[in-house]
Amino acid sequence: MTPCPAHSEWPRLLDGVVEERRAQHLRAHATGCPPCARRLARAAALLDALARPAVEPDPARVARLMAHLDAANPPRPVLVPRLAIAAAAMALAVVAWVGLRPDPGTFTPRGSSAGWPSKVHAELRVLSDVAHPVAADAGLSSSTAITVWYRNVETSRDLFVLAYLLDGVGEAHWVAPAWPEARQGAPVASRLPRAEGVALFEESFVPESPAPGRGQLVAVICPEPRSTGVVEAAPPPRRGDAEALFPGCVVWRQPIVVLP
Amino acid sequence: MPPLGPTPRLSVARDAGAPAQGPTDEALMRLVRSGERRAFEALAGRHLHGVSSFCARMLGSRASGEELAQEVFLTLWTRREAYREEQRFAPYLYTLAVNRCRNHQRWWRRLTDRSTQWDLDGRGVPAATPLETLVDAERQAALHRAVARLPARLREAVLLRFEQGLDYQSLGEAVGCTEVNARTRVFRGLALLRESTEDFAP
Repeated sequence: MTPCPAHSEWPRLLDGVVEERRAQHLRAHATGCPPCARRLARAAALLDALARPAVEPDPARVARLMAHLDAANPPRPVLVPRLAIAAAAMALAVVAWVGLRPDPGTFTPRGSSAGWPSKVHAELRVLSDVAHPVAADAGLSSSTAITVWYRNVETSRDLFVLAYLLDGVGEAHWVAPAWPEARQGAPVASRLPRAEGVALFEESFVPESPAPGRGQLVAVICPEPRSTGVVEAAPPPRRGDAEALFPGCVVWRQPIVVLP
Repeated sequence: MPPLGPTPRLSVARDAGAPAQGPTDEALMRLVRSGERRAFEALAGRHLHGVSSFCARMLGSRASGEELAQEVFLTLWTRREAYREEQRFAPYLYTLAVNRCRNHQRWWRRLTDRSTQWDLDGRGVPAATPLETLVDAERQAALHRAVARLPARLREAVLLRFEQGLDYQSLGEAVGCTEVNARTRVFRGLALLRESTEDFAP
């Protein structure tokens, strides 16, 4: 029997800060030495007891904190009531039609010899007081209204757009086609209206209970009306890989974080 | 020789900064920096309970601990722009908590000439039978008292390591010392606890 280790070695063993060879020696010693086995068990009981929180979890505590915060710093009224969202989107669309211009340098105007992909763009934007661009890894809450922001000066053919939010578990929440359309038969991409400047879809979309976590916003413009089933049939990890799902289409993607 | 039985294990090997799912604390804190309240609420949902428990044990008072934890989170919000993007969240948060507790203890000593107020007991300790619950609660209360008697620097190190599950690097950042010193404080604290809880049989 080897000499008993110092008492202080048992909590170090449990805390994982003893090198492996020494740890094996200590465990072997405790197996054959009842007093040290008791010391080890007592150290484990002490650490277990320390790990128990002194204050029980209570959701009301967070609610009290937020109430204090609101009292000290009233929140800005940035969230639009759902019924007002469509009206706001329509108003914004009118403003966008008459007031906005394409970003210089990234867009080929009508008459260019370039093909249709250079004449279109669509992305998803967050609708509050204005249609905000979504930054990479931005946090989106479940009450965020999203809409399609687009340009289309292609006149020789119809183009179609699919737009969706992928939540934290890879489930697709459809922005275009809108939900009422998607419920009818085989939902396909929405026709992208022509727009000399930039414009917003009249419909906006508030996702229903998206799973929190890392997700994506995706907008796809294709020369034919592709089905939402292409995305739905793909395994969740591949649903964001729109370039592979929709070859020959123009794809815009932005990583986001869906907030709990 | 009786068998040793199941190998005792340390039950706090979690990392306070790593949620089981969803965005990381750091990603949420970056949103908080830009004024996103829902991200702040999510962070509070994850950590307010832990900070309350830490403060309660540091002060020996559940009520004071909860009050101080609320102040810690309000400070986190009002000084959100001081958070640097590359910082790890857990040590940042617990630095605020540690400093708030130290200030409170200084104020309390000036006011009362006592090192620690005291109202923690072993409530809420689950056990199989009423008798076990009673025994367990008494042991937990005894442990609270022993923790409260530790010097403050050792107490905060022991609690951050074993109650809050911070690794030693984070612990050192939170209390303002090196990783080696953090480890030294933890095991000095444990040695004192072991002496004052000799009857702490498993």
